[in-house]
Amino acid sequence: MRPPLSMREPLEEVGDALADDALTRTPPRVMSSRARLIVAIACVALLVAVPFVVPGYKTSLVIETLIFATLAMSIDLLAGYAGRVSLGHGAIFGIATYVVLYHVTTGGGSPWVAMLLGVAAATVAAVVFALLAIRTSGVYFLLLTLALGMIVWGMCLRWTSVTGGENGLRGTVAPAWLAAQPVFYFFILIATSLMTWLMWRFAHSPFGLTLQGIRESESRMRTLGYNVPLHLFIGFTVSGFFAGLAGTLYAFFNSFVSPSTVALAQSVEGLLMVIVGGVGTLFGGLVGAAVIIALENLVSFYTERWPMVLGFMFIVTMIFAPEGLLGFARTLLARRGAEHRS
Amino acid sequence: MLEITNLHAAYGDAQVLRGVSMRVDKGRIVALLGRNGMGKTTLIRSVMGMTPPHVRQGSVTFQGQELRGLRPHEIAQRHIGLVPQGRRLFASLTVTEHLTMLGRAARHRSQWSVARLFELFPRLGERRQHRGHQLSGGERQMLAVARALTQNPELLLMDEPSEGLAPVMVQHLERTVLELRQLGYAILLVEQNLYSALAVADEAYILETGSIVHHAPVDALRHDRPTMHRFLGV
Repeated sequence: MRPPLSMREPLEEVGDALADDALTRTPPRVMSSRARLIVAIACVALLVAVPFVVPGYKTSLVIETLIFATLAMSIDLLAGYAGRVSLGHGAIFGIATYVVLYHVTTGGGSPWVAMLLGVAAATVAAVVFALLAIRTSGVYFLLLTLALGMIVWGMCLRWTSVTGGENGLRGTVAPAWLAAQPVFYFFILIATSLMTWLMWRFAHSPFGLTLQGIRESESRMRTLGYNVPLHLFIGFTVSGFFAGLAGTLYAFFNSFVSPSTVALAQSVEGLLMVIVGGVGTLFGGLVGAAVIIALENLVSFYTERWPMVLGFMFIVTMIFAPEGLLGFARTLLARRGAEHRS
Repeated sequence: MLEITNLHAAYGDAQVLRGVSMRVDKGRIVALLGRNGMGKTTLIRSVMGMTPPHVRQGSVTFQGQELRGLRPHEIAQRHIGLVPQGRRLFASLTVTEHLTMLGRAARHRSQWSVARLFELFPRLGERRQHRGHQLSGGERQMLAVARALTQNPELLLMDEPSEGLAPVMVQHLERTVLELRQLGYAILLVEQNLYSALAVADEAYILETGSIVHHAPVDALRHDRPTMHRFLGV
């Protein structure tokens, strides 16, 4: 039998025992702080230059990209951080759009009040979705959110007195001072930047860390004292809140809403943006939205078979960059960094 | 502090715990020994309210309050910390993130600030930006203990903490466990590593096919070679 602790050698050698490769390992840094700053400044400069460099149609594409990037990032909050893939966010997004258009065009209300009501309606919808869906996971969560989204779509299609049925609702909802495209562009840029920053803060807050913990192991989180369903409920609601904000901006931008805005395709497209950009990267949503909207609109300019090109792009991404474009770029940079160090 | 009385637990039709009774008092380290498959981890899971197993009979009380019927997070919130078998860290989170997950308000209530945890485990302080999967086995074990301490526990359940560690790391772990006892923690130490358990524990229970077959102070057990040979194969 080993001698008791008090009779053993002092433990100074503990440090030495740890001096395996773990000691020499340093966490891989994808980019230095300076490089990050340069990339951030370049991105901001690029975005600020857009309405001056490519005015008109291409600027409106960037506006659309920023709005859908916000939707994609809201989906990523749930899919990438909490591990819950939702197919109901298109419906939550669309509810906000419907409420804004209804309040302004039918009710004759203020667009800012409409915006508040739109976000409130989307958040309430998210609460209902969350209450029903948070106790499920995996494919069941996916199917439940899909079903809830389908219910919303069915209501928008059939409740014609309010939603206009298949004809939808049409009308300019953005205030007059946003009529000029550059002004509207900067309004959207500032709003989406603010939302992106808020989502980033949320994802990296202690609460966001608990969502990541839940994604990795629910049972582990429970034994650490975390109320997993409550955390998922809050996570879903916050995610729905941001999807709703994106929906209200879409109402300002598109001035039209129809059942296709709340349809499954909308949720799927948002999810594809996340997947193409990189699940769990948050900013991947922006990359995915840019790629998909660019392909949808620019490739269709050259060929009628643009969905084929889109499908091909998805396949290539899944095979060669399953972690998404941003994830792929990070891996590549990390590898180069490691090679450089060695 | 923790009192388990006549606990019966099963996985489906397979009865694993058969009337286990034991107690862990404040400031004591109690070792639960037994060979593989005897029900040690099942006992820990039963105390924490995890299913499976299903507890069919008996009671688990902590500071006089019944834990049976509570959900795992409610049990953990009653200041019971778990250091699970295999560490079970979060691979994608850094050391600091593991320890700050609790939120600022809760951390203020806890007597274990991140700085204090890094004092207890200086190695973790040096590795604060490393992710769970980038740590060595010993560092992972330190982080698992530190993570449990962030919950401000009064009782620590440690499930095979020395498993897979180098001998020198086991000694380091033992020192930590003794320090925690000095701070007044009650510790239920589930171990297959008899030597490690005997080095730190005050008393020991031996679990054999789901029943407690022996209970003695560690000093007595250390000299009771027939018992150790019979139940622990030593």
